[in-house]
Order: sequence, then C-alpha cells, then structure tokens
Amino acid sequence: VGVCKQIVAFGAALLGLVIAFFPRLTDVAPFWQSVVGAAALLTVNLTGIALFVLVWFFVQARSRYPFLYLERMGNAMPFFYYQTLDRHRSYKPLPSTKGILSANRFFLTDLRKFARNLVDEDEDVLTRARHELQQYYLLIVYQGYLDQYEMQLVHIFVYASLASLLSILIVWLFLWI
Amino acid sequence: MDLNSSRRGFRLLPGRWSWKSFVCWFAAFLALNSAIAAYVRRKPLSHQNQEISQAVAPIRVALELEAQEIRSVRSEVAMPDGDTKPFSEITKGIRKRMIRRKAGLDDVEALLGAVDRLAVMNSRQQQTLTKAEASVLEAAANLKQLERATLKQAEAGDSSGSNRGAR
Repeated sequence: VGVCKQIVAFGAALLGLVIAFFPRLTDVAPFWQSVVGAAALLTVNLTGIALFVLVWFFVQARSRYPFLYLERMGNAMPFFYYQTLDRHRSYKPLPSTKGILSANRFFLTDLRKFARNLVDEDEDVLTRARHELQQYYLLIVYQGYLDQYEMQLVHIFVYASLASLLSILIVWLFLWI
Repeated sequence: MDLNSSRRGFRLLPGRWSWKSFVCWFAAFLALNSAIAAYVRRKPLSHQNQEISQAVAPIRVALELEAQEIRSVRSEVAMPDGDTKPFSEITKGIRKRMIRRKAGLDDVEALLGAVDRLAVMNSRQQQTLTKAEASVLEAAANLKQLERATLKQAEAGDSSGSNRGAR
C-alpha cells in the first residue's frame, strides 16, 4: 500500500512533466518519440494499477468480518469490542458536555458488565475453557483474513504490472515502430 | 511439495502463480494499450508541425543544392593555376568576392536555421513562415546572380592570362 501511494504520487508528477515538455518532444526523432510514448503509457498503467490497489485496500478496510455477525460464538463478549462495548456509544471527535457525560455513563456500565462476566467465568472452569478455545480460534480466523487480504493486494499488483509491461512491449513493437 | 522444498527458492507471489489470472490481466491491458496507441496514431498531437516540416523540406533541398553548387565553383576558382602576375591578381579578386559570397552562404544557412525553428511553431505563425520562405528564395536568387557575375569575371581573367602567355 505504501509503494502504491508513492507510485500514484510520482506517476502524477511524471505525467505533469510529460505534458509540460511535450512541445519539445516533437523535435525528437520518431524512434525516441515512440520510446517516450511507451514510457508515458507505462506510467499511466502503473498509476492506474496503484490507484486500483489503493481502492481495493479501502474496500477491504471497510469490510466487516463475517464471523462478527455470530453474536455468541463469533463475537463473544470478552474478545471483540463490538459485543463488549455498548453499540449506542458516540464516537464524535469533538463531543459536547452532554456527549462527554453520556460516554462516561456508557464507560462505567460496560466496565461493570465486563467485570461481572470475568468473575462469572472464573467461577466456572468449563465456561472459561470454552471462552479460551473460542478466542484462540477467532484469532486464527482473524489472522487468516488479514493475510488473505494482503495477498490479494500483492497478487493484483504483480499480475497487473507484469501484464501491463508485456502488453506495452507488444504495442510498442507492432504499432509504434 | 514437501516442507523443505517449499522453503527453498524464490517465489514471486505469496500464493501460487495462476496463468489464468495473468492471461486475463494481460488481455485487459493489451486491449487498453492498443486502443490508446491506435488513438494516438490516428490523431498525432504534433500533426501541424509535421505539415510545416513537409512544406519546408523542398526549400531546404533547393538551398542545399545551391550551396553545394557554390562550394564546387569556389573550389574550382581557388585552384592555383596561373603563374603570371595579372592572372594571380585576378584570382585574388575572385577570392575576395568568394569570401563575400561565403558570408552570403552563411546568411542562407542562418535563414535555414530560422526556417527550422519556425517549423516547430504552431499554425498561427504560418504567415511568418511564408515571408521567411520568400526572403530565403530571394537570397538564393541573389546568390545565383553573384555566382554568374563571378564566373564571368573568372572567364575574362582566364582569357587575358592566356593572351599574355601567348605573347
């Protein structure tokens, strides 16, 4: 993602340079004009690929893991904040006085619920073992999603870059020279 | 593939390489880039400059021929052929004239350079280019007249030198 951000920035800058110096490029020999054209095409392609990878990354960040919809098994109280914290909380960056009071009320209520849950869990060994197993499994599934999402981004970038390079080479050889 | 063999070697991707995915991406990019390249070929942005360059090309060829002709005449005239004093004086005179002619040739080359620069400008300067073309042609005609006059003088000098030799 960091590489794609840099490609988008440098790609835009390079395109600006090509547009700025285009009148001078008309004096260059046709062969070098075709080389510059192929380089500009590669820049456009890479910038588009990087932009697509970034958009796909935003889509991944926006997605909600499917197991979170399982309230008792996939989103149990001690492991994920969706279930541990009250969903009516406000997350405004600049809260009013009323908002601060409301948030603190939610804070204390959720703390009481959380503490009671832990105490109950300690009293029953079987419940605690069940929660631990759930937590291990959820961590594995969560890590799986993260890895697969990252792999998707790498695959898109590598396949698209190689395909773009090869297609530009073919276009340059058969259409421009 | 066992665990040991999978640890060795370089892998381009974290997952398995898929030719199907690669072919799909390649087809998409080939279509896109071909369309862009075809569009650029159909509507070249430097079209106007190419037209002007084509219009200037015959003028350039004519002037280069003219310059070559002048150079050949100059080399013929500059050959040390006469031992007698009057003929060498005539030759000196011709050389002086040829130096002046060379200055004219330089002017033509400068005009040629100006025409080249005009060729890369846009179509608004088409009128300026026409005027420059006319002046270049005029300069070429003047040079031709000068060449004829010099040739005549050289012939006159040659005949007087041979007459003196006969005496």
